[in-house]
Amino acid sequence: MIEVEKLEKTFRVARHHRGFLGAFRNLVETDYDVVRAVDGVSFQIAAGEFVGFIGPNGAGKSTTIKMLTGVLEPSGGRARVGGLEPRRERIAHTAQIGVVFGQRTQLWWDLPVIESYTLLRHVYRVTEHAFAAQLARLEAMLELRPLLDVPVRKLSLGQRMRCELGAALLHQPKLLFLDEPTIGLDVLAKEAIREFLATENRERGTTILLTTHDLSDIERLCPRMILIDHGRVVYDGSVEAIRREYGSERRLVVDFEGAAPADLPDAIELEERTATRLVLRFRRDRIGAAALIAQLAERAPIADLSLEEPPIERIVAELYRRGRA
Amino acid sequence: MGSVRPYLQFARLAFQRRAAYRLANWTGVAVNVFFLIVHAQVLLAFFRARPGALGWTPHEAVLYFTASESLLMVVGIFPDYRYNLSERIRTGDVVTDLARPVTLFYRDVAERYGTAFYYLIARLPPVYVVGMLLFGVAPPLRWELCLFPVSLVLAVGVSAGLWYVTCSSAYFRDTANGELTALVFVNTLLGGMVVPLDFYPDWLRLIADVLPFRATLYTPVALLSGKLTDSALAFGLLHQAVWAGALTAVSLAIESRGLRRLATQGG
Amino acid sequence: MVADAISLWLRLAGAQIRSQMQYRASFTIQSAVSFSVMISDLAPVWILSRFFGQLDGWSFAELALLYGMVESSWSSVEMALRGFENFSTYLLQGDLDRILLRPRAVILQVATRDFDARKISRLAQGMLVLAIACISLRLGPHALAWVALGIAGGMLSFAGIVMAGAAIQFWTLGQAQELQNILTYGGAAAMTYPVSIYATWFRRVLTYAVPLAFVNYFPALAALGRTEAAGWPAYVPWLSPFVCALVLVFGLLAFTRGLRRYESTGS
Repeated sequence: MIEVEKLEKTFRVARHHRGFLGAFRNLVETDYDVVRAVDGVSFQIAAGEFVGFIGPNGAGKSTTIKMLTGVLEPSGGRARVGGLEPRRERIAHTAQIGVVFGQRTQLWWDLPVIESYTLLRHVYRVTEHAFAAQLARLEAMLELRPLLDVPVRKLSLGQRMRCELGAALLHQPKLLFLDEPTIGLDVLAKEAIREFLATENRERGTTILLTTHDLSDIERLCPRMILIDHGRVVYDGSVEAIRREYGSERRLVVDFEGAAPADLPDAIELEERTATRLVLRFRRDRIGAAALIAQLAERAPIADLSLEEPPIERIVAELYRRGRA
Repeated sequence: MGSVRPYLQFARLAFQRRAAYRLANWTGVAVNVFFLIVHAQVLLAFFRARPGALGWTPHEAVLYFTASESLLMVVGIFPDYRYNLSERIRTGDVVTDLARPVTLFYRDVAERYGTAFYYLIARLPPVYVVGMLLFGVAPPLRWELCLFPVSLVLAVGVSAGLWYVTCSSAYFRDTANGELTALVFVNTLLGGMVVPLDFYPDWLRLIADVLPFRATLYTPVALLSGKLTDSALAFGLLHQAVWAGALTAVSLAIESRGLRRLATQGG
Repeated sequence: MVADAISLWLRLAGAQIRSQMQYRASFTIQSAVSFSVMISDLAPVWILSRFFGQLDGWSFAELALLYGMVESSWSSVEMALRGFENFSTYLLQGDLDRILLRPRAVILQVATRDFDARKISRLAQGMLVLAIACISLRLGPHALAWVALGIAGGMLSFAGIVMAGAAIQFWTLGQAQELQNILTYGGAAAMTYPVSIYATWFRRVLTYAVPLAFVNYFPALAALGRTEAAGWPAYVPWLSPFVCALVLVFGLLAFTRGLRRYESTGS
């Protein structure tokens, strides 16, 4: 569905001189800095995939997305979406994608939602029949009925986000780009959006590319994630695999029936100890979870335990840090 | 009124807010210069039919309009549609303003003076100089010019009062944008922005002399152009002072009434 | 494709009108505001005409004719193509990216993006002044045809000018809204008066560089039968439709060029 090969984007950014003399220099001459925002990015996404796109701010993430959606022209390399070149074949390309920006709306601010939908229907040239069917479906899944007659400016953020999703899918695109769709939403709203996206991907086979800073979105929804930093792909693989590769440390919380044992197995780090509870950290490659639990059970009867994976935030933060070092 | 310090701060902040937009100032100068060129030529063309009318030479008419166009932004004829009191009332932001231990009206006035000072140094000189270069006009050096600063200060005060009263209609209606626009145009007409009041038909002149609008434009502009002397000058200054006082009283009254209304209606 | 574009525009216009009709109070206030705008635009001209008798041979009724024509042209473009007028805002807020993500030509989307139904009152008043002027000048059908031609040409010209003004924003990163305003509002204001009153250089600008003279001046001359008396060959007013169409083409080209530049360099 998406093929990206050695994609590059360089910007010429005018250098701004400061102060009074600087202002004069700005007027007379312009110095340029060359910024390589995207420096050789390659990946492939098959139809029906659900991919998470993450990276620190200013790392080239949004620039890559802009090139994929056709807003920017690449300086080098190539990108093909659905077999089309996004910018050169802009009209055909945009007809088959849907885009949701978390922070900016595609709906007309003063008009009721349904008016925006109708206008978009004509923009995308959707037949009346297809429109009615799709609208009914989206209405049901996103609970849009009470919102349709409300002007967009009067909607809460969560309500607006649901309407944005509806708007992006009215023309039944094969590919959906989402840029921070859950930002600023409360827990219930986030859940609703995630539910919807998962269903859309699973039942309709819509390819989804989700850009986000919220890593729990990725954990919940994306089997695969791509991490971009310094304009390059730093990681491209499953969330499971990233955990295995970089997140080798796990955490075990054990509640004992009686007192917690005094002596502990080797190869572990004690984080906390109370009268009946032990909190330990251990490395997966040094000792397996089952073995560790067995060793602890030998020492004292266990009432309850829980095994925690490292939060993906920590893994990713570590990756960001390594990249910046 | 308590200490003056917070109000000086507001004035300074208003000044800095404007000073940050250097490019906007120069494009604004371009706009002023454009209208200066157009209307000065219009005045000159009219005078060709009847030069020396009412003791005004064409030269003086152009001088008048140059002064008018230079002083427009200083006096504050045009509102900032995005950042003004009526917007703050409409969105409810005014509640945070009212929570501070300052009188909102005086704060508004202080900000007006801060803005006026900015335009005094950033807008008046370039526009006036262009007028001088293009049309060969120069402010006549008369003793009355010493009173110009007084008149200007009063003019800004009256203008601030007019804006405050107009914006306050947002307490009682959804938005005041219509009223603000109307105020701009009534002000330019009855303030003699393009045509000195001297040329107005008698009945209109009478209306203009009674209403506050000439205090914002005609009085300081005519003074700066040396066309306001003796008893007319005295009347002009008195007119300004009286209206400044009256508008202050009205504004303060509206403020307490509006506060009460907000408190009952909620934010 | 043009029919398609018009149908999309009509839909948007309909939706906006329906939505704005809900605010009936605001509508009447808008009309009152437009009325005061019209008064303050025409009042200086009326005052000066009354005092000086005429402007370069043009009576007040004839000046009102010029005003009515240019106001009708510009108000209709202002209302219909507001997307171009607001273009600097779209650039600054990144709305252009959104436009690029839709499977329609950018120009079509910008043209149909905003429709300000409230401006209808301004257009209505422009036409009212025009009607009164035509009646009081007792214009025959031949003259009225010229007036209609002038207005139609004016719409083409202002459409082209507002597009060119929007194109400028591509190079100035949306910071030059004022420059665009000079071309549109300033141009309309300048054309309220006969181009003959301006100094040679300014007259040349308005005739050859930004040919606004073809919007109302030359058609009005033809309507009043004064083309040759004003020193122009009789065929000049006939050039109006072509010149105005050229301005539109220029605007379209300028905008397309700017868009291409944006797409390669980004924001």
